[in-house]
Amino acid sequence: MKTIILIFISFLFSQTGLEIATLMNNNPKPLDVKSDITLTLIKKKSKSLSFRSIMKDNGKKQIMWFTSPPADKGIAFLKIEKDEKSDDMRMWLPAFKKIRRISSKKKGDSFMGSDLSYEDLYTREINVYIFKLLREEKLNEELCYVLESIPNKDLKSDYSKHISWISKEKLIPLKEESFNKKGVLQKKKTFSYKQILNYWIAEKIVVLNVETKYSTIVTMENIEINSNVQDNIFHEKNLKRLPF
Amino acid sequence: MIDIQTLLRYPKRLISILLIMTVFFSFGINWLYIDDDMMKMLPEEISSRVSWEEIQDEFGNVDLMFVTVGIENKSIFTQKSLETIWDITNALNKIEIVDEVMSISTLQKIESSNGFMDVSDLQSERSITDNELKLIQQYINKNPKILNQFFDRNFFYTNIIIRPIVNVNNNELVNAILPITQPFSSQLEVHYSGQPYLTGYVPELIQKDVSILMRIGIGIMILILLANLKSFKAVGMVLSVILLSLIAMMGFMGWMLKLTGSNIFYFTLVNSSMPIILLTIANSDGVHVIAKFFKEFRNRKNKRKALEETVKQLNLPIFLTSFTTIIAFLTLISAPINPLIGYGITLGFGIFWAWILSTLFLPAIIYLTHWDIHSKSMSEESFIEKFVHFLNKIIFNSPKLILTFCLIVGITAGYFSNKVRVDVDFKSFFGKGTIIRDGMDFMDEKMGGYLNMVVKIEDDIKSPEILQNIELLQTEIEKNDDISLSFSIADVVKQMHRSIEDDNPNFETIPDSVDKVNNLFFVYSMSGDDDDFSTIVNEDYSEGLINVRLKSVSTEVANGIVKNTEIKISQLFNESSKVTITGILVVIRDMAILLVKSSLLNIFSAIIFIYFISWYFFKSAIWGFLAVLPLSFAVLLNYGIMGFLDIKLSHVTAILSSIIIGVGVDFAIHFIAQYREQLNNGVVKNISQNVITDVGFPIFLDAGSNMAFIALIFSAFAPVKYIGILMFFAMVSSSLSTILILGPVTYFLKNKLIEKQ
Repeated sequence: MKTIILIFISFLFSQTGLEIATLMNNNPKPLDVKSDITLTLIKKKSKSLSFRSIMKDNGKKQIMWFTSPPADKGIAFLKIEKDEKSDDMRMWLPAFKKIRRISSKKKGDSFMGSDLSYEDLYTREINVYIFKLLREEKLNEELCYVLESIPNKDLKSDYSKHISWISKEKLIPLKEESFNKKGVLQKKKTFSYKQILNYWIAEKIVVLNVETKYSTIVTMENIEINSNVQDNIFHEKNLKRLPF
Repeated sequence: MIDIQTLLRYPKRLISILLIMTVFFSFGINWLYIDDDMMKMLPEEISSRVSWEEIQDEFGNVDLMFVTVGIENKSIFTQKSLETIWDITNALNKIEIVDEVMSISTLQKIESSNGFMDVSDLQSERSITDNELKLIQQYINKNPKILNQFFDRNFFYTNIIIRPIVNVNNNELVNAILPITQPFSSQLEVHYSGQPYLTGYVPELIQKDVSILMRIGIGIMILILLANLKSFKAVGMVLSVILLSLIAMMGFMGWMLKLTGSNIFYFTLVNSSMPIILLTIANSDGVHVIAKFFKEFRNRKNKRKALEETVKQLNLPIFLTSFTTIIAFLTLISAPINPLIGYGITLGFGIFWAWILSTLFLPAIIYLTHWDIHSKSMSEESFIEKFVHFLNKIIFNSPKLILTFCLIVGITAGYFSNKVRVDVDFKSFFGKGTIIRDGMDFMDEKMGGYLNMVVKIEDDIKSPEILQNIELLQTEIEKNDDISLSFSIADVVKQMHRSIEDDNPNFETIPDSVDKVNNLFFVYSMSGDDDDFSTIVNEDYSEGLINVRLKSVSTEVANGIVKNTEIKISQLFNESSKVTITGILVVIRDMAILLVKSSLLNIFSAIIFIYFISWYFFKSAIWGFLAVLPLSFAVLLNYGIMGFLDIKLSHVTAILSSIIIGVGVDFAIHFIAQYREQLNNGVVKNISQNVITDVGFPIFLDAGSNMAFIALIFSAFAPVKYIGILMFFAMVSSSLSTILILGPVTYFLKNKLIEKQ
């Protein structure tokens, strides 16, 4: 009898986890976001990378123009997510005066040498994860759900699980810990938000690689939302010229 | 010092105090630290070490260990073999002291994919299909740098290259790797090489080999002592002095490390010669005391009086021999190689303790022991004593002829000593047929060697001019037959350039503008990891490395390679680029030069010190001259033998000079002290003959017993073998030169010496 009760409770909790993930997924999102993004890589010697980004459809369409360091100025990147396996990614290399098509990346690879992998940048589809609410607790005086997300067996992931602290009030992640395939803590992420209109937009993400002790700080400035970005902006011809 | 009367009044108390003190010193053994890092031997300011340490800080360890796997006449490109390599690589990667494992399983490929550069794993999974296997082979065939780095020409073997963490203990590393790789030897041949393997594994092998041979040597030594002293008790006493001195010395080293924390007291490869040196010196002290006591006991038939006379006559010479030898070793304090400083201090203490034990402990024990005046040891002449009588006759029948003979031998030795060459070729240390040598030969013949040389360039590494210079320097370096490959960021840039230009081989070049180079690196960072280059270029591209791999070469050849590289660097790079050369090759070269310098400096300074000390204590320059004459001759003879037999001067063979000086000065001082004693006693007639009769026995017994280390000739390791040969000759030369030179010389200078006295 006790076993049945335990199974029932556990089932109840897993449902709750999924519900929270669904609620998060259903959070209102801006139609488009324009911002200046800076990636600061803190390694033995730190370096920064800045680009102007325009995103649409919750990041499924994105174009970015690199502005610094000076060595990389003028390089531009276009991504149009079609489905998980075939993204259209193109890059403009001004020194070669060529646009090159980039093949789909392995998810686990580092994004631009940072502590973020491409997998970290993808939106987590709720149907390929198993969610479980572990507990509720306060984080920086903010009451949070502590949610565990385990990728299901069909999903090729570099992680075994993520534990996220989700603001109960805003339904946005404030902190996340990601564990590698061996179950060892690999990354810690913390998120800071800015409210624009009725959207919570991440303006700073700090990623600490627990293994290497290196970290990456992503900051977003000059954020504009819902500025009626047209689809034709996501075209390779726009890679060649900076929009400012 | 305690006078003989006090000593004989409280012998048990004295023995107890000395044993307690030795036990106290022995506790220090707990803190002994064995260090196999060759780099620590070099002075901190020497450019190859400075550069090496900077490289380690910036790029990680560049001293790599190689595990080569494969089967002769069978392609390594089979699914099964690649699975095995995958398993070995993964297992090795889990070792905490391993920073990185590079093998076919971890290699990245840079390819042109739909007009873009794609960076991906060469072998994506443990198990691969036939088609994937073919693609891997095709890619490797297209990339000669990878081919040379990882495969033999026939693709029978492949390297698994292990990069240990910085400051790794190589012995710990090897002991972590071997248990992982050895089980796979049933499926594939497994060969090991690389400097970490040599420094981590070889000392253990040498230690095992030497400990067996040393036991045999000590066994023979005991037999020689027994055959001549004819007393187990006497031999036991000599051995106890040796053993207690050794324990105290090793403990002292530990204590010094504990108290000072200085790395000069680390026990390194160089220090491994300390026990054998102290053994010969302590043996000498003990043998002289016992032999003198026997002689006096035979004459006086009274133990106490015999002992009093022994102590009276030997106190000064044993003090002087110990003092001069201590000073000789303390001159190493100025040595440019760190461990030699600790070596000099520690050995100095060992000799000091051997002196204490010989002059206090040994007489006390002798006094407490019952001696039978009718025993064979007292009544019968030994073989050596008979030999000394025979030698006496020969020398004084024609002393001029003997001196002329010595002169001719000296000139011949001088001629051959010019032919001595410095060489620290590790390969030549191991005889053909030994596991280590076979491993090295295998690496040299099949895999292009394991030695490394690293060229560090400090400038804007992304500049096409610098990249082109790096490329040109690599081309020049690779012209040497001993160099199998060089690898740098220039190779990667060329490969990236080709792939971004639709895999067109015409573009396997350095791009013509810095913007293009920047674009290439940017593209790489999109699909590859910046860390992929972390071993060849630093994060801000201000420093780059050319890693050069070469076959085992002699120090002379290494010197040539380094010099040629320096010339090319000066031709290719201007003053704004700082280019330095380091790597094991350069370290070995620098170490060889420094060791030889230290050794020569030690010989000269020791001889000068001994000259002045003897002058001071014997109150005449002529005695000082006579004290250094035979040992200088013995050193010359030793180098002559090395030149004649083509034995290279290395850090191992160089220690023989120290042994000769340590033992040679003992012999000369005992001779002089006895000569002066006889002069003081007014025994002028046949004085040189009497002195030889008196000191000849302990000198030859000491030398003869030390010759037992000829057993080392059976070692599998050439340097140990050479020590055996040279030890034998060192004993022959230092004992004979004392008798053959000092005998006739004092004979001819007799009147002058009487006058001086």
